[in-house]
Amino acid sequence: MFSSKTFVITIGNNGTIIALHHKKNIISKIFVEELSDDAKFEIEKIFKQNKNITIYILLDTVDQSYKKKIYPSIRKSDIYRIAKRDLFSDGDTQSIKNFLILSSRKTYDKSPLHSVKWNSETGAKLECLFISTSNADFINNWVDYLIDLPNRVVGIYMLPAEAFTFFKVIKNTIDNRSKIKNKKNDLYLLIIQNKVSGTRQMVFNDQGIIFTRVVNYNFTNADFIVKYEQDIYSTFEYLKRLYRDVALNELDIVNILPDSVIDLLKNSANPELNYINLNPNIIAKEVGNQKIISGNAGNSDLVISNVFANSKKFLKFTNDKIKKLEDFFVISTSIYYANAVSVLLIFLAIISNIYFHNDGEKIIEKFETDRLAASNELSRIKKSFLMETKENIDTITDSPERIDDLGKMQEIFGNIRDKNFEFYSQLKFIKNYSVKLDKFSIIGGSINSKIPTQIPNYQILFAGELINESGDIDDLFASFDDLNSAVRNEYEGNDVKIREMSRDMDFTKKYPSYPVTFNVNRNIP
Amino acid sequence: MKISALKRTIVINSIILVVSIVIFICCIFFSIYQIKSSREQTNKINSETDLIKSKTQSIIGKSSKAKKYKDLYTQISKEKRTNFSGIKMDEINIKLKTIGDKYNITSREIKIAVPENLKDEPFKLKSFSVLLTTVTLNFRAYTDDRVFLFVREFLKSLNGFTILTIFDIRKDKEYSEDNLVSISAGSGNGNIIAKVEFYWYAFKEEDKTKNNASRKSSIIKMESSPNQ
Repeated sequence: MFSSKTFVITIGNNGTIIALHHKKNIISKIFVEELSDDAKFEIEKIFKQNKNITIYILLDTVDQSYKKKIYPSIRKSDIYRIAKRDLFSDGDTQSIKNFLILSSRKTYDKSPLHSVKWNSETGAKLECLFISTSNADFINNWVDYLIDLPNRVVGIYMLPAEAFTFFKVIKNTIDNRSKIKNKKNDLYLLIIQNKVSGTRQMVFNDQGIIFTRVVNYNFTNADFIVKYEQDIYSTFEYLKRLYRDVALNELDIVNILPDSVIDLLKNSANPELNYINLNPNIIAKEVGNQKIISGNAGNSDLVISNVFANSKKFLKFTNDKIKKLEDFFVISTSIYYANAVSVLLIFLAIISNIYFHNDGEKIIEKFETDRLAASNELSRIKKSFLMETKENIDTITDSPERIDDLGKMQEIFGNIRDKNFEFYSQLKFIKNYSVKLDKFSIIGGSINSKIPTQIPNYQILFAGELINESGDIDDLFASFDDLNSAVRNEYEGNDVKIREMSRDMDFTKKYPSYPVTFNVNRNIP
Repeated sequence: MKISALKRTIVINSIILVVSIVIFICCIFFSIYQIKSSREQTNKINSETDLIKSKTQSIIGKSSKAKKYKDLYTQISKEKRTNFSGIKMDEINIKLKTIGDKYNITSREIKIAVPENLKDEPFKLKSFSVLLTTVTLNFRAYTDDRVFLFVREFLKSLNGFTILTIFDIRKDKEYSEDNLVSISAGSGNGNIIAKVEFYWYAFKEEDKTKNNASRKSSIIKMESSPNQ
C-alpha cells in the first residue's frame, strides 16, 4: 500500500507495454502485442513477485477524442454538475469518458494569445475538456485481466492528457532550443513516436492539452517529409479555429523521434516550420534517468510512462468494474485505517491503564502513609492522655468526670467576684467628712441565673448624717459641698446621684447634723 | 485485485475491527473502573484519615480541657470538692447557727426558694447536678464588720457556689447603756440590720437529685433564730 513502486500498463492499438517503475528507474518491462496465453504467462511472472504494487492503465489508443466546451459564468460546483450531465447525455454509453474543468478566464487573460471562445464578447468564463475513447475489446480484455490479478487497479488514464506533465518537465529544454524570438503564444506541438500506437501529435499550452491525433508514417517513403508537413499544416488549421492571430512560424514543433527520422527532417527547407529536434535519449536524460531506455531507442512510451508513474495524475477514467472495485477498496482501506486507529487506541488505552494504575497506587500509598501518620499521632496522643489520666487517678481521689465537672463549675464561678466587701471598703474616705453612715446597700444588676456571668453593674446606696459641730448653716453647706465633691471624685466616671439640700431651710436655725443620701450606679468593666 | 478477495479482506478486517473496538471498550471500561476504584479507595482512606484526625483533635481538645479543668479543680477548696449534699435545711440551720453564734448574729432568718434542677448547659454535668435557689438572709449584728465576716463565712460554708445580688445593712439605733449591758450579758440584739440575697448553686449527687426537683415557686421559711 505504501510502496513507491508502480505498474504502468500502456495500452495502444499496436500492443501493450507493462512497466514496473521505482522512482526514476524501470525495474522490469515487457511488451506484448496481444493478450495471448503466452503473454499472460510472461506477465504473471512479473505480477506474482509484486502482488502489492498498484496498477495504472495508460491508454494510448488511436480513437481518443478531445472536445472543449465553453460554459457561461456560473459557480464551479454548478459547472461540474452541468458538465457531468452533458457527459452522460451524449448518447454514447459504451465509451470510456470523463471531463476536465480548465482554468478560469482570469488565468487566460494573462496569456497574450486569447482563445477564440474566450473573448469579451461571449462573456464565457469556464472551459471544459471532454475526453473519450471507445471501449474496444482489447481494452476490455486488458482491464478484465488486470482486475483479476492480485494487484489493485487504480484507474484508467489517457496518455495524451497525462503527457502534459511530461511536457512541463521538458518545457525548459524546448524553450532553450526554440528559434522563435518574442513568441506571442504558449502553444507547442509535440510529435512523438510510441511503440504501442505509432506517431502522435500533441498540442499543449500552459494549461494542458489542446489537441492530439495519431499520424502514422512510413519513414522510408520518399514523400514522408511532405506528408509529415501536411499533417502539421492541417493541425495548424485546427488551431486557427481555436485561437485568433496564431501564426505557424510562431509555433514550436518539437520532434521526439528516432535519430534517423530527425536526420530526414533536417533536410526540410520549410522556413515556416520551427523544428526542435530531440531524440528519446535526450528526453530520458531531461526526465532524470537516461538508462530507462536503450541508447538507440526511438520510442518515448517508457519515458512518458515513467514520468506518469512519478507525477500527480490528471484525470482518472473508470468503468463499472473498476468503480465497484474502487468502492470495495475504499471500504477495505477505511476499515484497514480504522483497524490501525483502533490498535493505536488500544495501545494508548493500555498505556493509560498502566499509568492510571501506577498513579492510583502512588496516590493510595501517599494517603495510606498519611493515614498511618495520623494513626500514630492518635496513638501517641491517646497514650499521653491515658498517662495524664492515670496520673490524675493516682494523685486525686475524684473521678475524671467529677474533676471535669468541678473544673467546669470553677471556670464559671471562679470569674464571678463578690464586690460587696470591696465596695464597702471603698467608703473609707467618708471618715474624713464627719459622716455617720447608717445605711449601706448594694443591689446587683440584672443577671441570668441560668447562665451566670459577672454581674454587669451595681447600684450602691449609702446614707447617714453629716455632722455639723458648729451648727452653723454656712458650715453645713461647706461640709455638704466638700462631701459631694469627695463622693464625685471617688466615683468619677460613674453615675452619682446625691440628694440635694432642702430649699426651704431655716437660716436662723442651727443644724448640728443633716441627712445625706448617695446613689452610685457603678459599672463593672 | 479480485472483488472476492477484497470482500474477504473486508470481512476479515471488519472482524478484526469489531474485536479491536470490543478490546478498546474493555480497556476504557477497565480504565474507568480502575480510576473509580482508586478514587473510592483514596476517598475511603481519606475519610478514615479524617476520622483519625478528628479523633486526635477531639482527644487533644479533651486532654487540654481535662488539664484546664484539673487546674481549675485544684483551685476549689476541699470542702466544696467533697460536699455534694445539695440543699439540706438541717445542715444549713446548723451552719447558720454555728457561724451566726461565732459572730454574735441575732434574729437570723433564712428564706430559701424551692430549688430548680439545672439540666441545660453549662450545668449539664456527668457526676452531679446543680440545684439553683434564691436565698434571702435577714439578721442583726453588733457591728458592720461582723456582718461581712458572717456573710463571707456563711457563703463559704455552703456547698457549691453563690452569687450575691443584694446586700443591705442599716443601723436602726445607737446603743444605749442598757443595750450595752444586755450585749455584754449575751442577750441583746445588735443595732445593725442586714439583708442579704444571693443565688445558690448547690451541688448534689445525680441519683439523689431526681426526686427533689420541684418547680413550685413558693417561698419556704426554713429557720428562725430563737433570739428573734
